[in-house]
Amino acid sequence: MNRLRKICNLDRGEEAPAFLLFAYLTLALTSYMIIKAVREGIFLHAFSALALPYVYIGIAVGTGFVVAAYIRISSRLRQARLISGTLLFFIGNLFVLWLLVRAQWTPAPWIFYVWASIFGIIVTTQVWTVANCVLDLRQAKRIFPLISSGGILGGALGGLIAARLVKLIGTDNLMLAPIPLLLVAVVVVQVLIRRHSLPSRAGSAGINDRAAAFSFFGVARKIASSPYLKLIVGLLAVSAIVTQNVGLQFLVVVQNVFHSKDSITAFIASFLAYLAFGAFLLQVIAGSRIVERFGIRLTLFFLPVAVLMGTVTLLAFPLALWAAGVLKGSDYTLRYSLDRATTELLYVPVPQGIKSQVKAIIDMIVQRFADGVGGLILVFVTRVLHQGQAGVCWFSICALSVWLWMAWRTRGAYRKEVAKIFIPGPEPLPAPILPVVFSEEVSLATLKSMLGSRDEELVLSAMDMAAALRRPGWITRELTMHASPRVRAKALELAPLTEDELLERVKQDDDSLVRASAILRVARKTASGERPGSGLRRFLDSPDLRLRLAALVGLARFESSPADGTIKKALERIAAELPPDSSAWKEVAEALGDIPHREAVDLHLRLLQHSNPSVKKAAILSAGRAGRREFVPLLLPMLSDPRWAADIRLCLREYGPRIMGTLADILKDPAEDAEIRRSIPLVLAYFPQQESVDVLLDSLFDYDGLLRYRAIRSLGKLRLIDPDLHFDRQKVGLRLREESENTLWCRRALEALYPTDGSNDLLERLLKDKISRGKDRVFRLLALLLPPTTAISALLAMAEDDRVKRAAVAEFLDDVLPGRMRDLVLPVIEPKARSAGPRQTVEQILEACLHNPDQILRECTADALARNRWPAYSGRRATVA
Amino acid sequence: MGDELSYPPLVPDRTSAKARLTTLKRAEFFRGLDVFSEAGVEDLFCLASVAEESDFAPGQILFREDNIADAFHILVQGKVELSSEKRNVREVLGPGESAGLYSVLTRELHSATARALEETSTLVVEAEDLYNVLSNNMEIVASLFRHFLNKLGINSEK
Repeated sequence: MNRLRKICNLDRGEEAPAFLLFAYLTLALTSYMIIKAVREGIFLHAFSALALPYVYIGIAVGTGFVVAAYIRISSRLRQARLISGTLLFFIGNLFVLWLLVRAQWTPAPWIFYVWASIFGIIVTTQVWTVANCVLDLRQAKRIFPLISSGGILGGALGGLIAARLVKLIGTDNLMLAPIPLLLVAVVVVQVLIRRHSLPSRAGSAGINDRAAAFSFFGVARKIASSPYLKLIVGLLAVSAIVTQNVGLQFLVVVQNVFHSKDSITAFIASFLAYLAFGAFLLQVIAGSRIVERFGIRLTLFFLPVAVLMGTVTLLAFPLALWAAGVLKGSDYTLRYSLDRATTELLYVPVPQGIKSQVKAIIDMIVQRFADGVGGLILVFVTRVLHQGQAGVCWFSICALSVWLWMAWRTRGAYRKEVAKIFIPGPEPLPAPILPVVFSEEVSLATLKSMLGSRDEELVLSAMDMAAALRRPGWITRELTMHASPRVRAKALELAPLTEDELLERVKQDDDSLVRASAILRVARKTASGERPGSGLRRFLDSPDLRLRLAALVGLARFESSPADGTIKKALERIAAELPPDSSAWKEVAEALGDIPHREAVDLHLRLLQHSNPSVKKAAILSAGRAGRREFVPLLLPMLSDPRWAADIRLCLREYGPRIMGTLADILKDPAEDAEIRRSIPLVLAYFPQQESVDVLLDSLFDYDGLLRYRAIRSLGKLRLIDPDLHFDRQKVGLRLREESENTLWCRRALEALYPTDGSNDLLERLLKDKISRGKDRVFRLLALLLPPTTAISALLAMAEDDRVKRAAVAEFLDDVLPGRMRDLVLPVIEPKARSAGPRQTVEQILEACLHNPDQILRECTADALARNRWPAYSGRRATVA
Repeated sequence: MGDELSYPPLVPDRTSAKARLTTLKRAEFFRGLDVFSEAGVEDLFCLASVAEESDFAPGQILFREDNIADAFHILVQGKVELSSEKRNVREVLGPGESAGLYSVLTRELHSATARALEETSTLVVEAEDLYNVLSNNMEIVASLFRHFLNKLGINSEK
């Protein structure tokens, strides 16, 4: 079984659905080929071949009606019931038609001919619809070629069976031969759908409205409104037209070379037999691997490029049988093998809910219509324009150019459709806000409601508008007690408050800037005509600490150059008055953040080293607001202390990019304290500058694993903040490679050391942790190369228990990543039954673990050995000791 | 492989010279607790590195009811009785079980008194050390959330 799995490129667990689908298509095509042989015999026995054009019209009309009815029925029935019901219905039809033919009812051959064509179309379409519903994107890529080889096999078997049986039971009775095959197919379908169906998925491709898909025209409208489906239609149509050209060119040459009926028949029969055999071999042996390796991005071009080369060859060597053979051979071999699998893959991203209806219309109607158009064009080129083989060749080249262009467009559209499976749609903007924000006529009522909003920005804008409209009365006292300090500060500037009320707010408000805003207003009121500084100074002697601090803040922030020594003296007085253990120091520390003056630096430095944690914390946070460089040498070492690290990071954030050089120096210095260095990436994530990115990219290669991880995360944050930042692809790629290789090594180690789950060893768990973290890092690095939303959606989708989404992520990455990167990343996110890569023995892996720089890995390995987990290597214990 | 450094302890390693358990053994005790069952191995080592070993004689008190929960214990060997006069409850804990952990996590007073019933060894983790580890390691916090959500049967999508 393992060997068979390897030949067919199957993973464990895929054998059953793959071979059932293969069998289903083989049964369907065998039945169809038998029926096809019977219909020709019965019709030509009863009527002249010249009557066939009328039959073709009947087929076109009949197919239209049948497809419309089929779509209506298919949207109301479960798939298993629909397909089994259709097959049983066809079996019943066969029996009735057999009775009619045996009764020699004159219209019977006509009806049977039309019915057989419709049977062939519906049965084949249904097989691929089931395949689409059973296999996810990644499986489809590997298994579709195998399934389509079932079609080639079925075609050959059907012909052979018909040829043998007709001699034994006669043409009429041969009509009943497909019945047992179709009954087996019913069982196969039931098993496939009941046991192997994928969970259904709603939405995508802009075609998620199932209600509209109930009618023929509803589905047609859906196709017309979806750019992706329109591209599939165009691609299949132009492909059908080119096939007709190829067929005609081939026959023209054959007719020119062979002159007797028998020699023509013999040549075509043997030529097609060899081609079918070649196509079958290609499909079984290499089809799966080719499609898996190159994907849609290349296989879409295989057939048109091959046909183009064949056409050019024929143009260069007109009427040469070998040239015509090359053309027909490349078309026939690829069309029923790789191209068929590729075409069917295009339907996989289409939502399950409408897939069967869409497929029915495209496969049954569009393809037949395209055949008709192709025929008309050929008639036009040969009969109206009087062009010979060369003219047909040139027409083919034009059509092939269109085909290649469409394939290129389809390739891009396919990628987008696959991404839609795992990328959630955009969040709608909160509707109630929109009319308020964007309305041109802001009514007074709206303005009042804005002032009552909880949204800080909305209230601030409304206050500005109220001030511009000279309506200070609207700025109520409630706004001076708003939750947002910015709103309170603004309200205290604008609201109609008395001096006493303002001073009361200064004493009560907890925010230093709000207090300063209030006291500044008092100062402006009292120092009319003068600078507010003089009004503020009178509060410096106030017995109330808050009033003094607020006045200091006012002086430092709103007066351009307070007299030398004023602030220093005031602060020294406060320091002398307050006992060292007073809780009021916290307020002083907070206020110092709003006094960015050199005279406040000494006291601030002292408070940064205060013994009371809450005072120290307030001093740290306010140091960032003050933004004095003098604090930096004292702040940075505190990054190594977990009690202060988070506050220091917030503080450094306030400094902004001007301290980037210092941060970069520390990050690059391996002699610096590890914890300090590890904190720097977290700080740099606050500065969306190219310099931050460059520094962080360099640290992707640091010896410290945690520092590297934090650098990756910080780079991701910067990319989200500013997508225009440049991320050196080479550096990211190199890191990606190392992370992927590490993760794959861990996976191989886990498989070798713990082939079955549940050992309870810390080593097993540690390896699993490392694999999971490695995967996380790989996606975070990918987010630096791909659109960040896509990469993050992919990461989230991989964490979900949704096989379809995970397959879509893998398919998307397979399509967008360049060759080498793809080979590294895909095995990480899409583990096969056994990981690929250089095999190592258990001993080699244990050796590597025991000599790994990771201390925890070493300890866990030693512990597992001590438990005698691998008795053959118990001697390793000595090494550990 | 091989570029990983071990996560060094985020607070000073309390492993003293007389420690009898290796960091790995202590990590295993942490793994045995339901609350940390979802934590990664490196997170467990982080916790283990801040734990100290303590011995208690029979009758000795580990902590008292209504006292501030400034530490929790994981029993390595021996037995501990948890009793509350107010709530009239009595429970006996054995090796691998924790005492005082939930009070530390919720920052509430101890709801029972813990007394050693026989010669008992425990791993003690100071509340401040635990908070420091948690505040610098979101992975452990996430694993705690996962544990409690699972325990309460709450849909994580809500």
